[in-house]
Amino acid sequence: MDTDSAKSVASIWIGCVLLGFLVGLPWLTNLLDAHYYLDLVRRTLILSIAASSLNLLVGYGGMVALGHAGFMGVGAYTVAALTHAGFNSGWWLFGTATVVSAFFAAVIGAIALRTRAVHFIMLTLACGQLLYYVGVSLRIYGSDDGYNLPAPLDLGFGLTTGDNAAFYWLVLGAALAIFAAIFHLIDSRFGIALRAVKDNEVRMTALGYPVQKIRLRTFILAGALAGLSGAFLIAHNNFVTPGVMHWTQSANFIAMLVLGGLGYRWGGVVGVVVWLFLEEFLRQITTHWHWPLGLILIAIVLIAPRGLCSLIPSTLRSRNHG
Amino acid sequence: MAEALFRTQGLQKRFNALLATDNVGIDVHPKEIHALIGPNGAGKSTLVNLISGHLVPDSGTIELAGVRLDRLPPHERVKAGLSRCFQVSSIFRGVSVLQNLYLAVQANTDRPLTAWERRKVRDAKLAGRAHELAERVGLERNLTALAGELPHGAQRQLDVALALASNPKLLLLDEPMAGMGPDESERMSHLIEELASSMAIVLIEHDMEAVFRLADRVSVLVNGKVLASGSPASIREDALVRAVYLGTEESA
Repeated sequence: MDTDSAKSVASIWIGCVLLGFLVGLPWLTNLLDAHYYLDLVRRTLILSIAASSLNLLVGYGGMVALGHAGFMGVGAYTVAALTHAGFNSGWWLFGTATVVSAFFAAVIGAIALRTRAVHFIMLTLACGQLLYYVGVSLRIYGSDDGYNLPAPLDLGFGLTTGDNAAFYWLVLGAALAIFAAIFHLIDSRFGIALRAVKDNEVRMTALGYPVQKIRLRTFILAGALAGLSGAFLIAHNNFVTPGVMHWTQSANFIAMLVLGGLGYRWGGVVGVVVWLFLEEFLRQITTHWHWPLGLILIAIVLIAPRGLCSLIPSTLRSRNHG
Repeated sequence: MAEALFRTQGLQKRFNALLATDNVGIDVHPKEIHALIGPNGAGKSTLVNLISGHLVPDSGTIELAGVRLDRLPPHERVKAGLSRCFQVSSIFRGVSVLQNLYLAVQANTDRPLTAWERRKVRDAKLAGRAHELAERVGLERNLTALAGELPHGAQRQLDVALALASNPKLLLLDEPMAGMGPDESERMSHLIEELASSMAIVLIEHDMEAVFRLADRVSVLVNGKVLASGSPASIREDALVRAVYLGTEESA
């Protein structure tokens, strides 16, 4: 027990140091004149939100969806459409993007969740691709060439998403709140039921649980969070193309998740962090960075088949229900 | 005789060319053990799945305590008082016995799916009922064991405990003694007897000795049809049943 509590004290310390580092990062990068890295961390946080929502769906819910990037696109294009129509309040746009994505997830989920396994994968992939082609066909938002935001989004208090530090703190706060909410959810009665549905759907039904409702609610939540991530992403880049919705993006998220550890609390975040930083690091060394990246990923998966988070001692993480 | 608690009428299910359930009407009275016997492929499991809602019948009605079940999804049939066990123990293998029971108890609370409060590893709100269920089936000493690592017989007991959590009016037992040794079988048959004091039971079982000892009524299913139905004694004497079913067992 002593080593356990020592480990949990250690994990609290690690958490505090990391949190302090992340909060203070804008000052640090300013001091070192390394603005690019603030940008990189902000992008990592934004993609981590999407990856964590996918982890809820795939890792905890057992619903292998291959169209998750589609919801990011719905969020991003909602922001594009509303700014095009003259709206510019960031808070309002981010909120609306989340709600619209939730609506899309409700419709797609209601259809796709009638199926299981491979059929579910194919249906979600098809729905994601459908959204991609809708994006390509939207000439008003630049079709294939994408859509440039006319101006950074207004965040109130005289700040905009163009203020690197302010927008970074907003993304950081949102990401931390979302991670905390997801962790809370997976340990709630709902989350425990969700994980049990993944284990044994037939028995859950026979126990009287509305399995379909549990799945659909999770799908909607995951879609909504992916949509918020997409809305942040367009504000981060000031730009969006239909490419964000392409199925290869969805597949990338699955790969990141497998790399980080499916069904581990930090699986999504770790996957995104390792993936993006490896990519960034290798890109600086060579233009043929895909090769070493692929080899390193294969090596990681061989060493840790259940993802990097499986290497963390069990007291610092939680996996099984109860 | 009192009004039947449970009744199916004209139940029909076809899988392509195979008529797996052919115009089946059975009824079960309160606190009665109604056994379904029949050779392999007679349609016993299909019938159980039709009743529990895991399969959808082509036609026919299912009624429990005055409520039509046949249009309800499986989980709402549970709320209406129907519960079942599975031929292959359907449990949550990767977690402890206690966690299995918690899940079953949680399903029958006011807010089974609330996301607002954290559910603790040992949740006092669920513990009382979970321990009660464990004692009822005789698993009180295995609470911390991993469900998937329990001996076969104990897994069957856990399967029954999960089914009991909803306080069913009617319990479907699909070959509860399959694969059990004599001791485990004996214990299970005591359990079934004890359960019948508070609920009606539909029992599917290949162990004829157990069937004729436990059942108040026996129906014989052959090729999806009810061939005969009556008291254990009358079924044992039924010439047709002997010819079609019991005889083949003896000669086998």
